[in-house]
Amino acid sequence: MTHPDFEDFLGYDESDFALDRRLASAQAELLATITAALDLDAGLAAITGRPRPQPAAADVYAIGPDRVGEIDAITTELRNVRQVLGPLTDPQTGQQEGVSGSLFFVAHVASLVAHLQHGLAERRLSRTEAAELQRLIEHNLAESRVLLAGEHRRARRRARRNVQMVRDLVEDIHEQIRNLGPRIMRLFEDSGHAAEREPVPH
Amino acid sequence: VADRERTALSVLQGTVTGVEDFETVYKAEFPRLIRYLQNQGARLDEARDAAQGAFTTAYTRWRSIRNPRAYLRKVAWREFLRSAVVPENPTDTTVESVEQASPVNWIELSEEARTVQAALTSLPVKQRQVMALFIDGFSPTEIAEQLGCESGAVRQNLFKARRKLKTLLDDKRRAGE
Repeated sequence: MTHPDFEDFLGYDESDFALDRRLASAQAELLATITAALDLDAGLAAITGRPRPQPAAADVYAIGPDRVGEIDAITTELRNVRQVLGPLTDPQTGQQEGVSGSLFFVAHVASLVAHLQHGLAERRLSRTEAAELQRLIEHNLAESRVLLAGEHRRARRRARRNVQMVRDLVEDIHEQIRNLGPRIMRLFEDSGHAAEREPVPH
Repeated sequence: VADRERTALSVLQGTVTGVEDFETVYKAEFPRLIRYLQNQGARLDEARDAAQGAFTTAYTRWRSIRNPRAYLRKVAWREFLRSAVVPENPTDTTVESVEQASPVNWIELSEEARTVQAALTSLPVKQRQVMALFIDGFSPTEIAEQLGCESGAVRQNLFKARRKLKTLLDDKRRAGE
């Protein structure tokens, strides 16, 4: 977050670094909630006049009331993932020494996880959409891991430990998301219910 | 890998240019532009309308915009001012008073994040403006240029804002103990 020029003229001390950490974490959370509330394709189409990508018409929104407990459990896990990603997801924090391009993908993961969490909680995702979000999250995690491996190789000694920490974190999250995949898909199985589709907030 | 890194970094640094990149910038910057306005006290709907207005204006002159991030923030702020009344000096700047009137999307935030946001938006307008640009990674010179003031004024406002934030957050922490 901090532009390097500021550290010079503000004469940073420990309390400043602590304040920056708290700001960065809060800002990352705020960004995730904002992203989750947006329909970027619709906004873009309103400006450019180009048609927005259409969701599959035949999708059925079929999470039954018997799955409420499992939805809660899954969305809580997704929320926890976002909170773990929190300090990393603002690409302008500059707090993760040695980490650069990989943050773009990590930030995108946080935003996709927010979409998945809210979409499931509000039952406005179809099985196809949930599967696509799951696929995109895994894809972005895989991309970030590739970049993190390169950043780790190039990092100077002091930064290398920090990059390794981020790698471990991303690896854990990747594993967690992989495990959630089948549970999310099971939400749509055999429920026999087709919930009313709620409008996507714009 | 190198190509992927270059693309990702160019988006992060706001160096993507050209008509074809409007979509890329929109998707990367639109949520951040809303956050920028929310850091200055805008509600989610106000911020969203102002950000959309800024991008609509930018689209018509995209080729001539040298620094999209700075341009968008300037125009979005103007759009927001056009539609909202921003109190110059909030009468009560305690964290609690701001939390009571917090934007609806803050419900999603953790308690810690809500506390920090409440403290941030309780700052006087000038300090909030400087802090919002500081958070978005702008340099002192860029902030001065953006706000049309001397860099000394930026430094002074930033110093005061950060001192006040530390005090507000420390007080809040002590009250919670």
